[in-house]
Amino acid sequence: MVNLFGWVLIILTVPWAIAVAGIGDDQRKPGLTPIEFARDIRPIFAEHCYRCHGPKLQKSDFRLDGRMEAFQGGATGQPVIAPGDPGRSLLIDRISSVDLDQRMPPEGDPVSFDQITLIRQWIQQGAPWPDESPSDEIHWSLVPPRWPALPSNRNRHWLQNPIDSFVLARLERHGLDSADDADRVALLRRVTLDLTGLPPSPDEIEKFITGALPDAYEKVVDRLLSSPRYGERWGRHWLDVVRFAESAGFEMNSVRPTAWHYRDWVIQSYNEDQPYDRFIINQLAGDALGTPVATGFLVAGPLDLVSFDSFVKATQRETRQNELNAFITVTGESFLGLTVGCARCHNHKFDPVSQTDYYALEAVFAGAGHPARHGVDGNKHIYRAHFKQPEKPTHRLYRGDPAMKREVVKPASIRSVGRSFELSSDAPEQQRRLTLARWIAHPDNPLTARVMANRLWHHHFGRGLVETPNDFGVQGAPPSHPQLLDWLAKQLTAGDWSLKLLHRRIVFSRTYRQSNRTNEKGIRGDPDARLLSRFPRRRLEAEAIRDSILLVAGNLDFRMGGPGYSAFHPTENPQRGNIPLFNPKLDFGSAEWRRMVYEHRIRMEQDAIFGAFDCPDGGQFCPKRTQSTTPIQALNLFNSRFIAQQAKSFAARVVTAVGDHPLQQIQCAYRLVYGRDAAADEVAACVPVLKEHGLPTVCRVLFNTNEFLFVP
Amino acid sequence: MPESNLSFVGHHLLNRRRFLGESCTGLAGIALAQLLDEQRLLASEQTNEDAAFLPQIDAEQPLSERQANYPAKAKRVLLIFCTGGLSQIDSWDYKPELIRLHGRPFPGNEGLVTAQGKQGNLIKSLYPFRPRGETGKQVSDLLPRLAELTDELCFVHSMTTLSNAHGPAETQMSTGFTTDGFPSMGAWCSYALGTEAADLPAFVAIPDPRGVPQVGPINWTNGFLPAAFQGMPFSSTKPVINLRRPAGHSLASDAAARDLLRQLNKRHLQRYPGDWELSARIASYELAAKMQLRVPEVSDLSSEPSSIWTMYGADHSDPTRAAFAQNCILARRLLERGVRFVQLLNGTNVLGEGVGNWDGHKTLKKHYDVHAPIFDQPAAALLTDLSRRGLLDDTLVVFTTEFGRMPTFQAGAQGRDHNPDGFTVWLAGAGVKRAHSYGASDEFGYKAVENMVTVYDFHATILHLLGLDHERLTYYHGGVQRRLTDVHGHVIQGILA
Repeated sequence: MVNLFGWVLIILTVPWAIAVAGIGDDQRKPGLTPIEFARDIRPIFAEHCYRCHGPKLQKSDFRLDGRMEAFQGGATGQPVIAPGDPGRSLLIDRISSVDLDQRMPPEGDPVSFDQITLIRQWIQQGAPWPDESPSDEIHWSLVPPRWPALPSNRNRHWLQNPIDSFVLARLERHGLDSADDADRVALLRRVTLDLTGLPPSPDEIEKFITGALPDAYEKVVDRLLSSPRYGERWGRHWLDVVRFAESAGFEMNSVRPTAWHYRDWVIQSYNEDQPYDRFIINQLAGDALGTPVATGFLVAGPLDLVSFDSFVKATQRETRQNELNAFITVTGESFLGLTVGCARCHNHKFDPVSQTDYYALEAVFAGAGHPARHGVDGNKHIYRAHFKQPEKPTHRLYRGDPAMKREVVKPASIRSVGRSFELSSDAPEQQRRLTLARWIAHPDNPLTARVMANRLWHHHFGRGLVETPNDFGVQGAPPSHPQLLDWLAKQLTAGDWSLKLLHRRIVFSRTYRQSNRTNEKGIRGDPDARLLSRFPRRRLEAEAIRDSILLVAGNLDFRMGGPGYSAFHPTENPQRGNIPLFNPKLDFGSAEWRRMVYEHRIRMEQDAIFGAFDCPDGGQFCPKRTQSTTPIQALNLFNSRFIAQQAKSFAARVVTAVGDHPLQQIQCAYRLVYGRDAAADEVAACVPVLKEHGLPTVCRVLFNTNEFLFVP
Repeated sequence: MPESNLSFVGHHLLNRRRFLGESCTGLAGIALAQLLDEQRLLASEQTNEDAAFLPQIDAEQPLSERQANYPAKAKRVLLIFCTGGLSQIDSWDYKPELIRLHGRPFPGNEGLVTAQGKQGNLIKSLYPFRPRGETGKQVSDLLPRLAELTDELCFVHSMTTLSNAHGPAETQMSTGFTTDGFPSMGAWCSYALGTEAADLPAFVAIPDPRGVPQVGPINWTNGFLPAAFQGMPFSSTKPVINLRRPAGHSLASDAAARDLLRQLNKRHLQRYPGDWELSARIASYELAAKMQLRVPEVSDLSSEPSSIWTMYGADHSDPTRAAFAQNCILARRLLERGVRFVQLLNGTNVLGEGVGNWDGHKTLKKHYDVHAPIFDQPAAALLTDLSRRGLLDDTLVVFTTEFGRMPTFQAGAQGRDHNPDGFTVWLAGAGVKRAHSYGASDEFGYKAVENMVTVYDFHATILHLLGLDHERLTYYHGGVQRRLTDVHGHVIQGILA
C-alpha cells in the first residue's frame, strides 16, 4: 500500500511535468500553458545561444547553459537576466534589438517573436530555473558506465548471479517477492523460443526434464546458442533496428534483388558471435576490412528514386541531403541511441548534439552513397554502400537548406560524447568512416555498450531497461534499473564484446528463470511486470508464429541464406509505368516454407497473413515492435488457407507417428505443439471434436491457442 | 498484510474487489475490472470523488455499449481527414486583402522563412471565390459540390496546431500529441462508449485508395489503451481478407473449432488471473466470428442502387475517384449500422510530395486540380446522403487536415508552404450550428487572430458532443491520468447548436 500512496503522491505533486512530457519538438505558443524552464526556455537558448555562450565557447565571458553563470552575467556587468524585470534584462535587449550590430545571435536565425515573448514572460515570472536542470549536470547516458556495487538483499539464497541482486533489491524496496522458478517445460520452451524463435522438440524436452540441474540447463543454452537458428532469430532483431527491407520504398518501391547479402551477413555474424565492436566497424567501414557486404547497413533504408533522378538541381541537392541524413540517423540511433537527425536544421533542442556535430558526421559520410549514386547497378552486384573521395568540403547548412551554406565543418565525432576526434577536411574518405567506427566501438564510449546491452535485455524480457531503445537522450525514457544496465554494459565490454556471453549471463539469471504465473500481490504491486516480480508474458512475433507453425507441422524448410521467397505475386503494372505492384499471395507452397527471416521484405507492403502481427515494413527504425491484439489477426490465423494447409500436415504427421487411436493422437499433438501431455479434461474436450470433424480441425484450433502464441 | 493495516485506499480496493468477485462471472472479467477499478480509485484519491470518468469495461466484451457522462447530441462520428495540409487560402478562407495585394511582398513579413525555406510574394486563391447559399458566404470553386452545401456547415477559421511538419501534426490531429504512443481520438471514443453494433468493430479507419498517410496506422492506434480499442483499417479496395472459413470446412466443424478454442483458452487463462491481454485475445476471436458474418454484408456495395453509385460517382472512369467514392458509401453503411467512429482518409504521401495528397509546395494548382475532383463529389454526396437518411441528426461529421498553407508562394515555386498558425476545418450534423462561421484568421489568412482554436479545443468539442467531458475521460498510464487533451482544451461553445 505504501506503493500505491507513493504513486498518488507523485501524481499530486508533479502532474504537470509528466503530463506534458509527450510534447516535444514544437514551438510553443506564448500564453498557451504555464512556462517551464526545461521545456520552454532552454530549447530556445540551445537553439540560439549555446554555440557562443555554452560549454565550448564563452564569448564576452558569458555562458547561458548553467544557472549560476547565467545569473552572474558577463563582461558588461549589466544583469543578463533580472528576475521579475524583463526591462532591466540585457538578454531581452539583445535578442529583440533592431540594431543589427547589437542583436543576438549575430548570425543564424533571429529569436522569433513568440520565443522572445516566452522569455519575457518567464523573466516576468521571476525566471524560475530549477536546480536540477540537466544542463548543470551531464545526462546519465553520457556518463561512462562503471561497475556498480552490488546492492544488499534480504532473500540472498534466491540470487543466482549479480543480475538477480539488482532486480531483487528493487522488488524488496517495493515490498514485492520474486516468483517461483518456472517449471522445466515452460523454461525450456521459453529459452528455446527466445534464443531460436522456434519451440523445442518432444525429444529435447524429454532429455531436459530427465537431466540433472544445473548441468542440463547449461547444456541446453550451449546447444541453442551454437545452433544456426540463433542467428536467424537475433539477426532479425537487428534488421528491425536498421529498418532493412529489399525495396526502395517511396513512389517507385523498386525491388533490390541483391540486398539479401547483407541480411545473410548479419545472420552469420550473430551465429559466429562476431564481437560487437567488430560488428560495428564492419558495418561502417567493412570495405576497409575485406567485408564490404556489411556496409549494406548504410543503405538498408528507403531511397526516393524519383527525386534522385530529378532534373531540378535543388531537388537533387535535397535528395542527396536526405540520403546523407539516413546514414547519419541510422548510425546515431542504432549504435549510440541518439536521435542525431534532429540536429540537421538546428542544434538539438534536448540533447547535447549541435548542428556542427551533425555536419561533422555528414563530413564523415560525404563520400558514401547508394549504388545508383555511383553508377553501379544494384541489381547485379551486392547491394551495399559505395564510396569515393569527396571533391568538396562539407558545410554547415543554415536550417538544413542546401542552398544556404555556412562555414566548413571537418569530419569529427559528436563532441559531447566521450573523447572526441577531428580530422582534416581532406582526410581520406575511408579513414573518416574507420575513425568514426573505432570511436563508436571504443570501450570508453559511454553509449555504445549500454545501448546494445539494453537491446539484448529488451528481446529477452520483451521490454528494455530503457524503454526507448533508440533514444538514450533527454527525451528518451530513463532506465528502470540504472545499475543493472551499467553492470550489463560493463559485462559486454569486459567480455570482449561477446553477445553470446551476455546472453548466457541473462538466461542463467534467476530473474529470467522465474515463472510467469500471475498472483494477486504481483498483479497489484507490479501490474505489468515492469519490476520483474515474474517473467513478463508476451506474444510471439510474426516470424516466430509462422516458423513455429511450420515446424510443428513438420514442414519447416531449414535452408539458410540466399535470395528470399516472395509473399507477393509478380505482377505487371502497365498503368503506372514500371512501378511494381505487390499482390499478396494467399496460397503458399513448399518453396515458401522457409523461415520468415528469408521472406523478401517489401517496404509499405505486408505479408497477407502474418503482417498483421505487428510486422514492421522497413519504413522506420523499429527497435521495439508493438504488440497488438486484433480481430484481423484472429481471422488470419483461423481462416487462412495457410493455416488449413499446415493443420492438415500437422495431423498427417501425428497419424504417421501414432496411428489411428484418438487418445494417442491428442497426446502426440499436445507434445508437438506445447511440449507437454494433455490433461484428462483437455483430452475430453478434444476427442469429440476429433471424432466428429477430424484431427486437422483440432490441429487448426491448437495453432490458435494462447498457450501456443505466447512465450511461456 | 493484515486487513487492519490497510490504508483507506487499500480498504476501498479490497471491498470493491470482493464486490466484483461476487458479481462477475469470468475470471478475466474480474481481473480487468480490478485493474480498471484501481484506476478509478487512484483517480478519485487524486482529486475529488467523481473527477474521473473511467468506463466499466467487460474484458470479455470490451466493446459493449456504455453510457456517456451526460446526454449526447451525437451518437457517432465521421471524421474526414484530408492529409498533406489542405490550403485554407484556396478553399474556404476568403481574403479580399489578398486579392488586393496579389503578387506583392507580404507586408511585415518580407523575407519570411517557413518549413521549406524562403517565402515569395502574396498570392491570392488559385480558385475564384463566390457567394454561396442563403448566407452568401464566400467559398472558392476548388470543391464546387461541397461549396453548394455551405449552409449545412459550421466553419472554424481559426484552427492552429503545434507542429509544421506532417508527421507530428498528423499525429497531433489524430491523437492530441505530436509524438506517437498516444491513443487516437477514435480509440478514446470506443474506450469510452463501446459500440452500438455488436458485430462490427467500434472504430473503422478507411484509408485512401492511393495508400496511407505519413504516420499510417498511428492515425487509428490504440496507443496505451487496450488493443481492443484500436481502429480496424479496411476499404473498398483493401477489403478484410480471410473473412470466410477455409474451403472444405463445414459450418459445423467451424463452430466446433471455435468452441474448442474458447474452452482451451479459458482453461489456460485460469493460470494467469489478471492478464487481460490473454482475455483480449479470446475476445478478439469472438469479435472475428461476428465480423465474419457481418463485414461481407456491410462491404458489399453491389446492393446499393445505381442512383447511389451515380450520386457518389462510384462508377466514375477514374479508378481513384471511383474507389474513394466507394469508400464514402462504405462509410455511410458503417455509420448506418452503428459503428461509433469512422475515420475516412483522403490523401497519401507514398506517391511523393503533393502527388497523392494536399501538400502543394511546388505546383499547387497542378496537384489540386487532380485531388479536388477525387474528393469533392464523393464527399458532398456522403453529406447529402447522411442528411437525407436522417443520420445527421445524431451523427457528427468533422472535416480536418493537419495544418493549412501560407498566403505566399514559396520563393521560386508555384505552391504554398505549411502553415500551422491559422487554418480552416468544419463540422456538420449533430449538435453543431448550421451556416455558421467561427473565429477568423488575419487579413491574409496567415494567423488565427479571433477566437483562436487549438487541436485540444477541437478534440474537447468532439468529445463534448458525444456526451464526454474531456477532462474526466482518462486512462491511467505511466504515472498520469492521461487524457486525449493532455492538460489543455476548452469546448468551443460558439459552435454548439
